[in-house]
Amino acid sequence: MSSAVSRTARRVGRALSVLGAVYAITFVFIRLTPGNPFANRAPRALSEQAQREIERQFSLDDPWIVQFLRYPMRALGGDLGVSYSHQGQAVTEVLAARLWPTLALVFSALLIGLLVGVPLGIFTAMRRNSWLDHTVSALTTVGIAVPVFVVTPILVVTLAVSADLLPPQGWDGLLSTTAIIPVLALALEPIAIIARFTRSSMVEVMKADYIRTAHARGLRRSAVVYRHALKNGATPVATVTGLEMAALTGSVLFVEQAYNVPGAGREFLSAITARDYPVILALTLLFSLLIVVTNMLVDVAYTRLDPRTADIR
Amino acid sequence: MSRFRANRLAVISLGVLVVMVIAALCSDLFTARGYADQSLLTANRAPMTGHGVLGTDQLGRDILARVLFGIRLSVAAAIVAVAVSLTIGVTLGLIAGHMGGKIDAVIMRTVDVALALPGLLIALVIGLSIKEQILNGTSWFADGLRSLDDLTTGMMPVFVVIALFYWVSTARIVRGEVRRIEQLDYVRAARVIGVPTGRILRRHVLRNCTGPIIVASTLAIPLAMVTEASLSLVGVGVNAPTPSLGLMIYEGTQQINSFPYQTTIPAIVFALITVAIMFVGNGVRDAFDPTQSVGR
Repeated sequence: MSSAVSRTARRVGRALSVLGAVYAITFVFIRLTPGNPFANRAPRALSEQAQREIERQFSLDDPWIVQFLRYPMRALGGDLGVSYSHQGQAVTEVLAARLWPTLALVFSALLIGLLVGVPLGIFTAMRRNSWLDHTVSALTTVGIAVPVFVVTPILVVTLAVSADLLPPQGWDGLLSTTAIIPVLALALEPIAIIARFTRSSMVEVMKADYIRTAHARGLRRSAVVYRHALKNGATPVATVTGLEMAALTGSVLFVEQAYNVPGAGREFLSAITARDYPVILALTLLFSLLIVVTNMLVDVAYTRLDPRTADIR
Repeated sequence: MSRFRANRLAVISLGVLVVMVIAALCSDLFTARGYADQSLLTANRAPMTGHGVLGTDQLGRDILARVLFGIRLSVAAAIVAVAVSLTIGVTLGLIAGHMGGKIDAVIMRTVDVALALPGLLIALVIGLSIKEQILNGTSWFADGLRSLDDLTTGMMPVFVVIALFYWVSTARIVRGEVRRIEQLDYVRAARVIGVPTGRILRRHVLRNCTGPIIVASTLAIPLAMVTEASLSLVGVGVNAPTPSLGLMIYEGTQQINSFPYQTTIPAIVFALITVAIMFVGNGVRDAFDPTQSVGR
């Protein structure tokens, strides 16, 4: 029991240290950035007094250490500050509607990555060095190498512009034809990576003595693969799933941008262009939270899959 | 070397890369017009219609000239990434693996956190900050950055981001290898007969990490290209009219319905390079790994 408690404490500690690092890095770089995000928006040069008035309004006149400590306190209470580029709107208000398309895209891409990647990996591991294995291996290399901002326009040109099968841009929710291209573009990399990890992990596991024993006991091939090998082969797959979530938070920016999805990813890119620092800070933290939570779930899955890791982790 | 040569896909990919890089470096020989020369009268001309081999973009600029110059930026980003990976990455990995203890814990904890960050978002935030320093900064630091930025045709934000991130995975891999190799008998034997530590690390440990180091550095290349393209796409990388492949893809998507070739040409060139690098990387990995079969 106590080991379970300390394990949870360690998980939470690791998650908090990542979130803290993200917050510190983002805060420091934003603070160090020169230039005046308000001057660019004003129709004419701001007077000294007007400038100070704006700074007071956004609480930017406090010492930076006060600002540094105040933000997390307020964020926990659901106050993420006021956006610079969306006039007078609270950041939470700006983000509320935009989070759903992003979450829908990211999670369905990860799910498809697992549902296609794992079977593909098992399949190729069982037919090692066949022409099918080599073809899939070449295809997964391509899937890993080609970034999402290349994939999305190519999918749009082939499926929407030339073939006219799907809409070329937009978003009507996850259960509409508009979701097909963005989800597909996002899912290709997870499929490739997960297939590759599953394959190499399964190839390793199939060499183990207990697999030979299982075969020798006369168990059916499918029973050996699914009951004995997959359980042991799935651990590295869990790790890569956590890493894929981190990769997807980057990919989703460009997919939303290229396909014109009104989500948090596109909002982040416009916030970068518009120097909307409160939105940048909030979104960086929210995306980190997504990664951290996924990693904690992976960690739990880990100890379920492989009870040996419970004590050392 | 012969193991690498036996891998046909890797050899062909290496050939494609060499041709592309040479073409990019000698781009002036192939293109009559510079990459920034505009001509609104011959804007949006399709490839092979007499206005440049690859046509022109929305401002009438020659797409071939722009793609070739864009490859140069990708190569520059790749060189910096490999340099960072080989110097900072290898050094920190060596220190962490050899020293162990507190130093190891600090370096590896940093590596763990860095790998769990939303990489691209942090890269964009840092790129934005550096870009603003160059545009509006008044300190001596900003002045220094600005002159470096002029020297590198506006690539300083990209270089800073790459320098901050691209040591991480190399350091982790080298550390693991160092810890493994230092336990091997020949290293112990060398220690027993009194070979100095620096010499052991150089001659026995580092030399046996060559394979994994080359693989890690090869894998950094496509990632660095993606970083350059992403930063430029959002406007915190190179400045217009300098053509980055990422920026060209983005500008092309603005009129993807009418002139899809303006997106697909830079996209295909970019994909060709990254895929070729991956195949070369696989070839190098297999060549250094005696358990892999040759000839694929």
